[in-house]
Amino acid sequence: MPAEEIVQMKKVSKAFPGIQALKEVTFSCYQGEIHALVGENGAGKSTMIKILGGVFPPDKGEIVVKGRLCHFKSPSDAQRLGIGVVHQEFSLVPYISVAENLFLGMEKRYSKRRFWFHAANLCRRAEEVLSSLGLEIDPRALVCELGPAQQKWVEIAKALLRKPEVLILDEPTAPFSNQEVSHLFHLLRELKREGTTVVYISHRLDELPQIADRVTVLKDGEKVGTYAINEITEDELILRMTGRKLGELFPPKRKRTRRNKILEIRNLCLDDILRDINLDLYEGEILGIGGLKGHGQDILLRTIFGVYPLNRGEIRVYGKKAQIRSPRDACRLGIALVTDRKEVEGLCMVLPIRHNMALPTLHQRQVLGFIQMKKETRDLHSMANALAIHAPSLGQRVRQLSGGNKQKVVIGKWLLTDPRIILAIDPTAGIDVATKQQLYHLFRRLADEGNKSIILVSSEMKELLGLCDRIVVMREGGIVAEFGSDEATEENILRAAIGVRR
Amino acid sequence: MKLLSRLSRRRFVGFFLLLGLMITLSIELPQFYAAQNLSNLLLRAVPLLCVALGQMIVILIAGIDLSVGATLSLATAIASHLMVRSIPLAILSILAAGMFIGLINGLGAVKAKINPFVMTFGTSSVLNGVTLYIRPSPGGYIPRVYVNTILAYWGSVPVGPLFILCLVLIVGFWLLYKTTYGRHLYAVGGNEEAARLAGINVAVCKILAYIVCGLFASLAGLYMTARIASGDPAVGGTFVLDSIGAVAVGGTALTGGRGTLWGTLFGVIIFSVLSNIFNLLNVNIYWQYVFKGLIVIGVVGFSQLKERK
Amino acid sequence: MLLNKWAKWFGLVMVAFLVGVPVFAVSQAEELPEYTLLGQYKKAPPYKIGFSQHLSGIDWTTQWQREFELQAEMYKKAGIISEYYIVSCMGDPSKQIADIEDLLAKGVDALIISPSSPTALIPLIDRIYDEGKIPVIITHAPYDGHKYSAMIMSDDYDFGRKGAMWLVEKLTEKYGKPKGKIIVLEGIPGAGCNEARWTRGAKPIFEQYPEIQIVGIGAGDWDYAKAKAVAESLVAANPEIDGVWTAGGQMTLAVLDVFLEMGRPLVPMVGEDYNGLLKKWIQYKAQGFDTIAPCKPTWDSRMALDIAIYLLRGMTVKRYQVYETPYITWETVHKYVRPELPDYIWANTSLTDEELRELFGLKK
Repeated sequence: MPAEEIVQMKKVSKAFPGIQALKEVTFSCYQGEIHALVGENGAGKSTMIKILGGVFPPDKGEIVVKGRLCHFKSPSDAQRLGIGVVHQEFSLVPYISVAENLFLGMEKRYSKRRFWFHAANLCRRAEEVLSSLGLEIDPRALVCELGPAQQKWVEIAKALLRKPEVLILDEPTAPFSNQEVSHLFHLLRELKREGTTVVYISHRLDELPQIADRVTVLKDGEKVGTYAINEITEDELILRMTGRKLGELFPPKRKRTRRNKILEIRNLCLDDILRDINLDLYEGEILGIGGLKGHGQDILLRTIFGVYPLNRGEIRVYGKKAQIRSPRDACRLGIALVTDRKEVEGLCMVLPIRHNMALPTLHQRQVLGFIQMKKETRDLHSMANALAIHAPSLGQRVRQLSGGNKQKVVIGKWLLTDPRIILAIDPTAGIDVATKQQLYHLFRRLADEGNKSIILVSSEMKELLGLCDRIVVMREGGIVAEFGSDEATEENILRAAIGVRR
Repeated sequence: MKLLSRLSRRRFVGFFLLLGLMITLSIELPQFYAAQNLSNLLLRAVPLLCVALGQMIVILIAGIDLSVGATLSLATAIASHLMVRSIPLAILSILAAGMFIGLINGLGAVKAKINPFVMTFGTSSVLNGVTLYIRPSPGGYIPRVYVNTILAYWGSVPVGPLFILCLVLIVGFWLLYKTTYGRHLYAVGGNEEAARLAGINVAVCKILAYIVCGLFASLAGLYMTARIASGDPAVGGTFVLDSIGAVAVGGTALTGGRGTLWGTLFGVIIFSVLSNIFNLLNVNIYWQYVFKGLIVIGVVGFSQLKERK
Repeated sequence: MLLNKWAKWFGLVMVAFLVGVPVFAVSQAEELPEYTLLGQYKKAPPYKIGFSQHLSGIDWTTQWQREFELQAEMYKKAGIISEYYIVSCMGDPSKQIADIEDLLAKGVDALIISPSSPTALIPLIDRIYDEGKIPVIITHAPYDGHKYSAMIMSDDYDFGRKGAMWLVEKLTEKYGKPKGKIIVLEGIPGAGCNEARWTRGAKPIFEQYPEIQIVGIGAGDWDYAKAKAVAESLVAANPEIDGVWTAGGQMTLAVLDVFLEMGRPLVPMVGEDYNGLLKKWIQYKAQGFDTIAPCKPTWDSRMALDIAIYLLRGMTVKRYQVYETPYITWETVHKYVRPELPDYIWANTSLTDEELRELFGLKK
């Protein structure tokens, strides 16, 4: 290899209470390469980049940057050496503007005055930066007003603004649409041409050949190996990540006769976000909702769940008109909601699995307000086993679980309510392949054997096509197309989503 | 051994601090363990425990109640008028008053969305005024029967206060750990949005927290009524900050969702033991305030440090 | 069914408790003697003395506490006292109960208490008295209980009454009969001392004379700044004022200063033995300013300690020793005023200039 090694980790170990997160991992990066880092959730990827980014120090081992041994005491030490990190977690200040976020901590460099920075000046600079990256984001907007994809862009712009020599991206594409993903790849290739090194973490293995030069696989805190991207196939990667061969990702669909209508939505409107939605859901069916991100799919499901009040229209469950004014009403009707934002909408992070999982069904196991602990323990254990949740005990705080296990806890808590309808919004976002596969099979089993009805909103085309019995496509708040599982193709759906007529 | 490792893992650094303190005391200050002194400690821990438990429940849902002191004073004032007529009537009306105050606090803080700090500060001021109106100066008559019941002694053991202490602890334990409501409290405090989406009636849960807090404060008022055998508009003053301090020292997060009954009990013990030890050691009152402040900051800071590691 | 056995037991115990205990509670009224019995608390010296204060940290209590300490040091030198403990509850009755319990735990031989509430301490003090092991001496502040070994203090009720009667006299001198418009500054409404001085002392006196009109009433918390703010609005609102009654403290000086600043003719004002007021009295007497200074002597604490020692040595004392409030008049003011010392000294004290300087950290 011609280029020099810009970052090296030598035999780095890190332990957290109860977990050995990294075991003697050795890793190196050449200048100007795009190096992908893959592994299941909990394999130690995030720990590794947090050590590289100076968030916490390693227990053992060395970090060498540009040939110099480094001891980072804080993220700013790492930044000074040219390492910029975009973390998976949201790390902006929500209630200040985009421009202020971009320049946070480096106001002085962009302003002559010592203490007062010039707001207009700052905004102009920010606009320049954002447009040079090809982004259309108003620098005066507050960060909390932006959607998750735009927030991620701001974080990426913020990291790039500091002109890093090594840019580390931890699952940047999770909130992105396909368009945005290709825009990001375009940017990364340009950076590469300028000589910037990129460490890229992703769960979407199919993205890697488009962008990465080499790929390093981690499993259970240990390095499995580093491979040139063109020398390894996706299946081989999965095999190395999971240590076993993955079966069929999606379960087979069964031909079925239509059964009872369980949910009817008639003329549903919400301001100008949802327009005249008409939708039927049948028993034992998985209904997919496709479309580009931000065209009202997730809002439709949240509205059905009573998060937003509907302006007009009605919802019927088993033919009876349902009054859903709050999530509470929805729960009573046997509706469940699983979303990609499990940390915000699904779980109380500081509480143990037991509290989280038992929450919606507490009233079923109580006498005069007192919880029947034994019964609860029995129920929760059997659910946890059924879903293969990996945790030492029910007392484990969910904060310490991996993304996949967190989502399983959310699903478990809803399954305990024995719901008739499950609403799922990108349930597999940020989850490793093996768990994804488990969830797909679970959904199919629930539909086939449990006769549950599932509405799945997904930004992953593969997921829609692979799992759903029927797919509708939404554009600008309305339903524009419907496909049976045999007529749906990637092209059909995309055409409908962007409004191209055949 | 398992217990020991659990204690050290949890944020119970303070527990060892207390243990160390106790051992040192037994050597340096033998009077501390005199039966009389221990019963003194018990007598004064009871009302603070009551108030702190209520406060903790409100803090669990990320609220705060500054009106506990005023509720307590009002309770003694009501008692000093009504007890003469009928003791059960007085007890019932005091508990009802406490719950009513909690209801108002809850409605203001939850339904009208007034910041709980502001809301309860407001009610506190109103209650102070009402208390001064019905009992402008300390006094009134509390029947001996009532005082002797609450402060009943069996030999030199204060069985009355002991009973109340156990009662409060058991009720607290059941409420927090054994009932669905307890689970709802933690869930709402831990992540309100997730709790709402899990079908919990968040508003009712929060309002109930304030009501329970008011109830516990008025219970403390009933106890203090016996202890001072009169109504006193000034008696509740120190309970507000002491209860918040004790809850914080006990490891409850002021941002809600985390906190244990045992932690709060520990905080209350620390607060009660401190002033006792200071008095036994002849520490000047001014220095007592200084040390108390430093110890609160120290214990909370230390457990934060431990937490981060 | 599952109203489980815990709950059942719990209910049973509770019912038993509520029913059972009151049976043991017997109330009795007893006749208390006028004098303590000879040798009732007799003990061999040296003694340990505990002093539970209602408050500390204001100038009056500082002087009052120092007098106690000086007296105690004297006894200590003589070998009569081995140790003395001073605790302060800073106005919080529940802390004072705790304080007193702590003193008992330390095994004191006599307790001196200045109550922070007239009623809150009754159950505790009654218990100590009934045990009869150590004498309890109440001092300084009103106390509604009856079981104590001795009570020694000046009479706040008398304090209020004396000032009011003097003011009525002055008004009579002016108009030929008790008549005129006065303003009143209370201390802290609800405080025992205020109740005694104003509600029970001065107010009934003024109410006897229908032609004396109280045109303005405010609360100054015995504090100079607060009283001045209140007085400013009262004085501004009333163009005609014939006299001023205050509950004492620094408030009279504040009212006087308001009168001077507003250029209003000076009128009689009831005061207290605050050095600043005494100095101004002498200064403005010629311009028509007159006052009377009822005193809360700071040597109360010495007398309380003396009584404790008498009792421990086995002597008999009169239990109820609430003495008439002494007062300073124009005739005696020159004996009391301390022209060399700052305003905040309380003049009716047995401390010398030297001791006061040392106490307040003043250089000669």
